Amino acid sequence: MKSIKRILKELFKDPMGRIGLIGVVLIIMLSVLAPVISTHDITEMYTQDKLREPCGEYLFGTDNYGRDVFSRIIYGARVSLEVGIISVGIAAIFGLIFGVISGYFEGWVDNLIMRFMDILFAFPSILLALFIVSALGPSIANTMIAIGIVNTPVFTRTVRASVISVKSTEYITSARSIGLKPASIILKHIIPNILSPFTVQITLALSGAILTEASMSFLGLGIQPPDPSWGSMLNESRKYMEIAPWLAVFPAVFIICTILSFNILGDSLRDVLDPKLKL
Amino acid sequence: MENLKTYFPVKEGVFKKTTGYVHAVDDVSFKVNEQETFALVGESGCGKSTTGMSILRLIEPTAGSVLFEGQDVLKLSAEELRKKRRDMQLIFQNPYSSLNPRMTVKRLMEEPLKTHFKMSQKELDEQVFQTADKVGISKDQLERYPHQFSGGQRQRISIARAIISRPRFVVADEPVSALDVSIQSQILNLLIQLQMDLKLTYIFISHDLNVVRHLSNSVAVMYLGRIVETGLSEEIFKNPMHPYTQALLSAVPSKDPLNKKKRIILQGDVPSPVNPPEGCPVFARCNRAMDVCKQQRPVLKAMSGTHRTACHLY
Amino acid sequence: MENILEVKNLGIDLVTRDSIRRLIDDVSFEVGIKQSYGIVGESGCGKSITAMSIMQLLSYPLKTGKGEIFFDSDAGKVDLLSMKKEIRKIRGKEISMIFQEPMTALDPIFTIEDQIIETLEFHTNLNKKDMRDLALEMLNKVGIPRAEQLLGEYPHQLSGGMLQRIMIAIALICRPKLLIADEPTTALDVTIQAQILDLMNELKESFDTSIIMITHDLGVIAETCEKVAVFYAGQIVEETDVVRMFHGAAHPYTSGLLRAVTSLGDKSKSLYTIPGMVPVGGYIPKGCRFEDRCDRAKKICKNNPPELLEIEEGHKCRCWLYNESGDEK
Repeated sequence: MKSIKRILKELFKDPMGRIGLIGVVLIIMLSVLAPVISTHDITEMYTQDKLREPCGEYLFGTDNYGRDVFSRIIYGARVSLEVGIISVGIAAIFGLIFGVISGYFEGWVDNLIMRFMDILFAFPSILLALFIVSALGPSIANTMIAIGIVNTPVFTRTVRASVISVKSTEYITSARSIGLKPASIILKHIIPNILSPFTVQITLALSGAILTEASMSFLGLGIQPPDPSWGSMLNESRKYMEIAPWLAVFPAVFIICTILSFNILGDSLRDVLDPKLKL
Repeated sequence: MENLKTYFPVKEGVFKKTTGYVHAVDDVSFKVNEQETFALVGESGCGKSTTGMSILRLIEPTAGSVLFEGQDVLKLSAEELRKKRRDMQLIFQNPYSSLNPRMTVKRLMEEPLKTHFKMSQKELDEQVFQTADKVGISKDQLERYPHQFSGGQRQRISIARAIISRPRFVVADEPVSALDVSIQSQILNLLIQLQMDLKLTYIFISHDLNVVRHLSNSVAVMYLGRIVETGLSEEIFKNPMHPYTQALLSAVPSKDPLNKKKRIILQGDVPSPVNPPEGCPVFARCNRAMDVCKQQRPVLKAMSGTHRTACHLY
Repeated sequence: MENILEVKNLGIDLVTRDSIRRLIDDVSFEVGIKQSYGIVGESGCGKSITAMSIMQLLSYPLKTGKGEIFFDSDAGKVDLLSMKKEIRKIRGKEISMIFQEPMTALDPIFTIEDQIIETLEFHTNLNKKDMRDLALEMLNKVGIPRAEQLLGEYPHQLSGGMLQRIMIAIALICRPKLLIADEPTTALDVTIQAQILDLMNELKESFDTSIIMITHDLGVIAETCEKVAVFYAGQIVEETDVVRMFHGAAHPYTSGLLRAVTSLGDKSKSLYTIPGMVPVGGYIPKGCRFEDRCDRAKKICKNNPPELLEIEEGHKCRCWLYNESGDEK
């Protein structure tokens, strides 16, 4: 496999890849450095400064409770990334397991798993997530579980397709002809060769997960106040849009930029990892 | 010890249950002697590759038996089969797709050993170096990846991987078809050398009659999943009896512009092996077909000792 | 012009982000009227890209770096490489090409009829009925039974042999002066190959077409060509008529190839091989490109590239063995 260094180098060479990479890195840095960068405590209500416009003291202004929007946005990045990574992590792991079993063994196991995934797939993702969260109760953890479940079918399908295509290659037949056990074949030969589409899928799923979380929080069923989430901030901004438009603009812009960055990165990554180009 | 391999009716069904069966290999039987090179020849779709894969159970045959040193390979359990694999190996046709692109040459060569033997790293290394040397890959190339090698070199690596566990017999499925002529001869020489050194038995599958003539002791000509003629190579090449074999031999372009052959041209195309015709499989294209050929399947009849052919003309 | 095609000093480059590599270097040859000219070489020698460059079919990152290709067209002698959009009038009409993989050379979503007529639609002004009749006539000429029925079928329904015949039909329907055949039988079974080669020989006679036959198979050359050029690592190393090539080859590579091929069948000895490999990875040797594999290499060969010289009438060779001035070093 191309080493990580080479992959990063090539991503950087591509203008779109550069944008995606920089965007993602910025978001990550924001969330990691949140305690350092943020200017105010995120739950502290500065009651005398309610609905202040962006200014020197409050970079992005304050909301109706007098909380500093800038700091909340920064911490919101943390929440978005956390939820995104963990939920996609859940989906990726289960997707990998189910996809490999389905693709390698085929037969009735494959049928069973795929029909189950089809059922999940049939629901619009947000609806399904909402359903799960309302059953389990709104909280960060449950949001992550819900988004994880919602994304599992797509990972299962992608992995299964990759496994089936790799399974029919001659080098897998070669591995069988040597006398390897199925477990060895899967671990040593199949999985390393499906990592490329799998990685791209992760990047793209992350953007979807972040959007889903924002939507859920917007609807009030995701992250609960007073924890900051771009989605819930957007929701709360609705009442004050005429008098305090910055309350809506900043969360929206950050949501858009984050998702775009991940998407663009994912697209570039797909090109860079394309096996047709020489390894 | 006789390396007898007798191979009986093997029909393969592939389609959805009732629409029909692809008779990829249809009642094929032959014996291979120890340290011999037995060639399966034919054009695309004749079933030669499928036969090779079936013998190794990389494709599960539908019926029949494969007796390897007296034991029926087809009756072995999964675990027993796995263990037996070290004695029966395969060399693939396509050097570009038969090696895992993510493994180094060294790992690729170690793998068969690690699967079947308990060896220390030192012992593994020694075996790997020795085998690499045998096939013409130098030590410093062992840490590289397949894509860094040419077609001919990759085929050497494939061969190394196949022989490193010291198998008893090797099925070589068109091992030089994808290579340039000047490299082909290198690889063929290597295969011959290895056969002598390691006392291997080869089942050599190819569509290239010139190569087959050079390497093999016995030949079976296949068409539509059946053997139409078989015997010692010299017999077959000097005195082909079946019309298909004759056409096949005459179709090979001569290498001498002054000596262009008078050719027997077979009309039409190679038919599909789905629901094959009842009579002789070559009937539709044969220039000497008779009525009986359409209705009745000819059986392999001995013409002389080892030379057998399946044709109503005889 | 007594030649239908004259390639002069052709150079083809591979353009990458960091460099420009000259893959084909200074190739020149001529194809006579009604002649079948063979280009033989192994993979990577550049024969295919040379053929593609004739009708400007190369695409990024390959491009012609220099040279001219003169063609005796209906409008007189033209340089194909200098043409812009006008070359489309020549493609399919005066020069045609057929390729190695008939299975993928035809568009799977169009019927056979559509694809044969496409050429006619572009190059002629015939009406629908006339075009259809012409298509049927061509299909019959290439030996396809039930031609009428076949017109409505799709490529995936047909075999390789049939498809190649259809490709030939499409290529010849406008009676081109030159047919370029790039490994036309390599992907076909040997009995089908025999049929196709016979067909091509026949059609060459009846249509008065010149053929450039590109292949790695010496047998195909022997059966179909009158004059042959041997390519190695991007250069022509020998050019002569076919009989002399097989019975009096001069260049060590040519004779090596012939020996490797003909030694097959003589069981008593091990096969003759040419040791080593084609230069890889863009590495172009300073001297003769075949030097490291040649059993008759001299000292001069390593650092001085030999030129393609006429060593006897109608016989060119690129080798210091035949170049007296080379003995001075």
